[in-house]
Amino acid sequence: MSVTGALHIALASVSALCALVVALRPEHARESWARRLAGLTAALSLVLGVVGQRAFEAGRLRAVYGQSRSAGAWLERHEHFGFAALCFAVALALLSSERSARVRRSVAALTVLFAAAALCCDALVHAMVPSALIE
Amino acid sequence: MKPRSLVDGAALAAALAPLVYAALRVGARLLGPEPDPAAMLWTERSSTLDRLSLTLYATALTGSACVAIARKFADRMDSIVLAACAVSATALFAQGALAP
Repeated sequence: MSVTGALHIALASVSALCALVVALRPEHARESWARRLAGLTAALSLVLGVVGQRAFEAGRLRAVYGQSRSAGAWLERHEHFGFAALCFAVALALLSSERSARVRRSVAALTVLFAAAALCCDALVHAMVPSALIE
Repeated sequence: MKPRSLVDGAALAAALAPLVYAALRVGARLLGPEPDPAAMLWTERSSTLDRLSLTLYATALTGSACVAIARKFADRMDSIVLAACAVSATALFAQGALAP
């Protein structure tokens, strides 16, 4: 795995964990801090994902679409669900503390849900296409 | 204008961004030409960055409307944000499942 790819996954995991903390404990003392960290790490993760993707774009596309069109579809789903997780993480970070705990918990739960879906799609792509071809 | 309306409007716009993304994707699938497998195989870049840029642009266009909603319905923003998240999540999940 490339350094960019590892950082992308690490930051996305931190974002999902912070959102999970908010979803489980919306009244926690450090909840506001966790919300902002979730949004920041999600945004950085997207930047690294795009940078990493462009770095090995041509090779990756040839590998994935050449190997399997189904793998290509799962790769697209990874991008869709990852983008949704980012949007919900940013919305979570922007929600003011005056919003009810129910709203913060719901948006955090959606962030975790879509981050998990994106991770599953990525794992499926790696299961279908040998890693050496993708990276 | 109160800064809180701006922040609430930005949060609402972020919550609606997946809906904009899904709508653009479905529109491209319905109205655009069928992708050429050979072109997809040998292209130097995917359309991901284009899609993200277009979504950012379209979401920014809705930003002022979201701020206006946040200012007008400040006391009902909880339910508005919840509804926006629910609609966005459903739309993007359906689009991802049916038209990736």
